[in-house]
Amino acid sequence: MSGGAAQPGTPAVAAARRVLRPPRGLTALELDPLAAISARGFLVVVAVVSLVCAIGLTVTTADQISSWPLAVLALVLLAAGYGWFVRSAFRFDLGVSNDRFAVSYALVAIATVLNSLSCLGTNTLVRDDWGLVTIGLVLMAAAPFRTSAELGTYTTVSVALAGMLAGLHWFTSLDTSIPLAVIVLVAAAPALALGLGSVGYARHLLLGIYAERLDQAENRERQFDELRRTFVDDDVVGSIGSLREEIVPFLARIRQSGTLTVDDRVRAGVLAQTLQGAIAEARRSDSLADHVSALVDEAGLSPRLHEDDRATLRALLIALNNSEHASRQGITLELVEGEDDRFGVVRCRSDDVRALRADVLPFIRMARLMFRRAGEQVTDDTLLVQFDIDRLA
Amino acid sequence: MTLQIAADVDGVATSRALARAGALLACVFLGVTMTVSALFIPVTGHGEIVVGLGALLVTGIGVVGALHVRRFAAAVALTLLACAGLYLFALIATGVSVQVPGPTPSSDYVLLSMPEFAVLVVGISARSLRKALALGSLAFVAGPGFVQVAAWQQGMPRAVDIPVIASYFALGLFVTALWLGRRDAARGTAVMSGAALAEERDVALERFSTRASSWLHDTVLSDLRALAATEPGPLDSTHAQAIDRDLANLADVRLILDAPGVHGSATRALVAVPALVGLVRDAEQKGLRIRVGGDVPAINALSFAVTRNLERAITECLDNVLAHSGVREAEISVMSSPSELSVMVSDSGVGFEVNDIAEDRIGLRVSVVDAIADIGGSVQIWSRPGAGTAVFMTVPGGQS
Repeated sequence: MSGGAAQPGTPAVAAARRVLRPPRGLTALELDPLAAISARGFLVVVAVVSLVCAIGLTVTTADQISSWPLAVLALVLLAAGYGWFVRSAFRFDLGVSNDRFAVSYALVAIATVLNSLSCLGTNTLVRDDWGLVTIGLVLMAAAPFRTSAELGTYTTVSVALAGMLAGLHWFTSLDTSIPLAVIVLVAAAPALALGLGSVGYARHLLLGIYAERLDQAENRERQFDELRRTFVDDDVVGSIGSLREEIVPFLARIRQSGTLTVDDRVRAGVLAQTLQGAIAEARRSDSLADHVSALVDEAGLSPRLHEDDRATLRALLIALNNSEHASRQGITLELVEGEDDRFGVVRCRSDDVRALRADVLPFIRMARLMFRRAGEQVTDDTLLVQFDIDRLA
Repeated sequence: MTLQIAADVDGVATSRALARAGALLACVFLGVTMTVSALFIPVTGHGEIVVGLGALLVTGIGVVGALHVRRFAAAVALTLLACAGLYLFALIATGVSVQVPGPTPSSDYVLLSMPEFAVLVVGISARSLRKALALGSLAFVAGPGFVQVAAWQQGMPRAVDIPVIASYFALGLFVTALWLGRRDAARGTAVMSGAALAEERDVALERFSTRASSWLHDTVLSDLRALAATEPGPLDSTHAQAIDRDLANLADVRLILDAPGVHGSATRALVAVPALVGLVRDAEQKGLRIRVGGDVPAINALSFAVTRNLERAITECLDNVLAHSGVREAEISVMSSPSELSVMVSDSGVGFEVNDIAEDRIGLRVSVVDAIADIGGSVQIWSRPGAGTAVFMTVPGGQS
């Protein structure tokens, strides 16, 4: 049996469940790519809030700004940092890697420093420095994308930076009536709170999704066992189940008599022929065809597709069928094997193709994640989803 | 990448993670407020600040409780408790502030804003967007709202706390964005999980069917043909034994399905160890059958860098099995100790003379050894012509 000692429900899953220990270096989005939908939306909102907060506070505390070039440059860098972050999050091929997030964080951190320096000597209230908030908000937005350990490091850097900037303002300010410790605590609190919040979120989201993954593995194992039981109880191979009722008494009679008659020879020949036909017919029809009006597959690719790719296609076809803007009659699937490449095209006719596209967009995104190359195209009345097939089972 | 993806379909994991995040955030703001307030006790000489600290503790308990309870009514009650604590603290803090000589701060001063931020997060972990917004709004009215009442009662100059109001709206936007995104993701995940299960069902049935067909073809069908071609007369012992075997197996077909390969891909078994899934799946796609055994979950405890290099080395070993061993089966065994973890990749193929590695097998020596040495590990290669190959890799970091 493949898998040996690491079968789900036995040692590997059981051990992982006893001490829930997700792999180090793994992010929540790596376990649950579909969560990228909510993570990206959250990131965009955080970016907008950060920029609005920065611009708003710059305008409302204009009297505290001693250097407008630095203040404007800080805003530009903040926008660049979030722009890079958002671009990375929406790039399916790259994603928010540690390196790419480091670039975003660095830009936001420099913006924080410039924001602080832009009011050096004229800063009356540290709490009005938007940089001290945005350097925490950027960590919050990163929580689904990066690991808790990385976020912990960034939080430490953010808190240290906030503390140093607060200290700088205290030393350059004429008013030192408020103790330095208080100023530093107040300045570092947002970064510490938001940073620790992001660490907690990243860690517990990963733990929760990892536990869900183990549950799903157990469900799959249960499904496998149930299928096996049903297969054994109800049938052997399609019509062979009923053939068994003819073959077993025949063989038992011959074995008991110990003699083969002429009639037995004829009967054996007939049963062999029937059995051969049943085995040939036992080749199951392709269940992907259940979701389309026409499956064009001259090369017989469908049964050879990798099971993950078939599942992705199946999910897309189910989503198309579920949409109120499409019907099974309008859906076709074509799988083509050329000399050098293999590819597939899903075509779906619709009265409102754009609405249909919006309905199935998450599944088109999933196709982009699963296939090396996948894309969609909207024509007058048809949605086309094309994908390359790189692997076969 | 595998469709054995985990997903937080009903939002439980996200809610718990948000609860933890909110609790940490609130604790920091309340902790800083308590620390700063405590620093003012000796400066102002007002011992009643200690009561205020107790009130902040109640606020913290209320906020953390509201974030973690599942029942909405309980969350509302705990939110009100948190707001009551905040109101009491505000009464004391504003009272002291107006009594201390010097300029009196207005009601938007930072010592009041920070616990207000803490209270505002109570709704973020609620299990529906409506409840989340309702709890957040309740906290906004009963928290910062009553702080203003306390300031008015103590005669403190009142001011609109813009950062707190902005935070309330920002939190509302964050929660809305998360919920809308999660709704789309949950819909997609449900369909995707259903499709993956359907696919697995198809694959399993096909394997059962193929195995049973193959067995029937090779045994029963073959024996029936042999009987049809046999001259009438007494059965010989070969035919009798074949019929006995067929009758036994037809009586209990479970024996047929227990054959190797019927359980499918090893990656199904590696769900708890994502680091191995990709490389095992790639090798399987290239035609290798892999058995995985030992303390496999211990790989999860390795650091990211060690895992990455170990993956590279195992991949190289499996590529070598495919390219040179002459067999299509390999075994990965994992052994761990408190300080290190060992992985052995072995096959029963043609083997080779270790000290006489040809140029085309340099990958095994260079890639594997380099990858493992880079992370402070060691590699031993055992092989003899005709006796298979075993690559034993030891890397730092075992059971945590």
